[in-house]
Amino acid sequence: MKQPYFLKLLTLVAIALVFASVFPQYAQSSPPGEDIRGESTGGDSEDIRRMAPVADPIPAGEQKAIESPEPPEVKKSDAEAEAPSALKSGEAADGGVEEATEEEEIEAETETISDPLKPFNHLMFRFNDRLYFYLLKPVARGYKAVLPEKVRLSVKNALSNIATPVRFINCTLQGKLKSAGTELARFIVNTTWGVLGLFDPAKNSLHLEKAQEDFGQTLGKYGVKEGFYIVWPFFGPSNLRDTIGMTGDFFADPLFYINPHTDLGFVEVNTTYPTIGTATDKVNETSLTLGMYEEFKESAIDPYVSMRSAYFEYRRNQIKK
Amino acid sequence: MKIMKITKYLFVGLLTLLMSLALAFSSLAAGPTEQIKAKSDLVMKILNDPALQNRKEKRRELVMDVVEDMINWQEVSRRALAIHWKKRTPQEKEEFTNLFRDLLKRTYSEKLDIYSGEQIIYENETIDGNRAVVKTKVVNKKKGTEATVDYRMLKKGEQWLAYDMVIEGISAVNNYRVQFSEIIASSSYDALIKRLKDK
Repeated sequence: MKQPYFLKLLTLVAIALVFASVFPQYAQSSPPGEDIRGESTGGDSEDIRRMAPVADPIPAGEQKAIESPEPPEVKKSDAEAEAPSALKSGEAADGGVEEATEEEEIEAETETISDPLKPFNHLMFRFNDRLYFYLLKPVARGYKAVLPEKVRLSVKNALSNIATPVRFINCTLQGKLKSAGTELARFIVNTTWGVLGLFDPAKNSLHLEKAQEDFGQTLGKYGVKEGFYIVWPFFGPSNLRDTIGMTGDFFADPLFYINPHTDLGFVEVNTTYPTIGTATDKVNETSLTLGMYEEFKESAIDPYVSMRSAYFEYRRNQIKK
Repeated sequence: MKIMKITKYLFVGLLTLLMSLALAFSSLAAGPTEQIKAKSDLVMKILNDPALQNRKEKRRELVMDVVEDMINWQEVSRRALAIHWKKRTPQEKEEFTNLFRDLLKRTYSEKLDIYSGEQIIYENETIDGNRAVVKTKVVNKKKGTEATVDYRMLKKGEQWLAYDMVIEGISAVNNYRVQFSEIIASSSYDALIKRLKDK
């Protein structure tokens, strides 16, 4: 029973890798064919765009940045440097260049996001939305009613403490040895003094801050492109790179290796504990942040686009750190 | 003894006078951080007012008034519409600015309903000509959470006004710009206005 789950994960990674190799253009930030549309940024091109049934509408601002297709080996950080040069041609087509520096600054922030799976993603976004309102939120409210905040914060601390290897490994892989050391120190302090991680004296008394590193960020640091946007059911927004990262982190989770019945065989890992751990974490976290998702939806004109943009910006910022 | 006490009071009084004078002068030419701090302190005062705890509507209104003259609304709108801003007539620009301002004020004041004792820590500011970035951290000691919040500001006359808020690296203006341009690209500017009105 346990093996198929593991196989599913492997299949997922395999599919992602195969997809990335078959459609390398999607594995980059810029989708193919966009340069054709991107060339006409004049006033009447808007009408053309409106008439043509575009399955995957990319904001006009994005199209500009896409104009100059970058070779695959160019690192992510160059995307920003590329934007202004791509902008000039767009500006010229637009007619006015009076506020060049100002506009340049505005456009420089323009992002390039590829979303070829939009119909699927949209569906998953709606699925997760319903999941939140009909299942997660009621469960989290009940949970909140039973457990005082202090207990719920301790649950959060303990789960985070267990997940130390994930952060430790990724700090090390990114060459952040000081952060890796901090993670190790935090684990030792919080597991002993913090009673199995229920409390966080490492932060509160010793000011040892947690290093929020994961495998997706590590891959990003090594220059792996983020790839297209994917919304996973249950897990929410992600992209190709972070999906692979998430799978990698799964295997760094010690809960995976708790198996009372068999030896620590690699293939015979037990998914029961990580599943319980993930579910508890989700409910616990929701109980601590009730109302936030509602506020997010309230503030957005198009919640799907808003979340997609926020996800990419947040991750890019995390990788820069 | 008595004289000592009197001189002590005098000294304290003088010090307070000096400090308030210094404060008064500094607020005359308030820098970006002072500007954000003054407004945030006002918002915090409203949020922590026990008399307003159960009057959420009144609280929102008061918060909205503070936010009103903390932000350069035209700059926010111009940046959010980006390339589409230039194509609009002055009337359309005004209409858009008003609609967008209402949305932002409303959602910002509603966001504060989930306020639970967070504190603002002012990290630093960088000024570059008439632009500035004020970096802050919103810390919840009880929950052990913190988030970085940067304010991007523009000097208008003698006053620093915010035009963007960057929470954990996510720029609010950028997020709206992507939403707006996607709506304009897939349907039209009028459709965007309609959705703003319906919101």
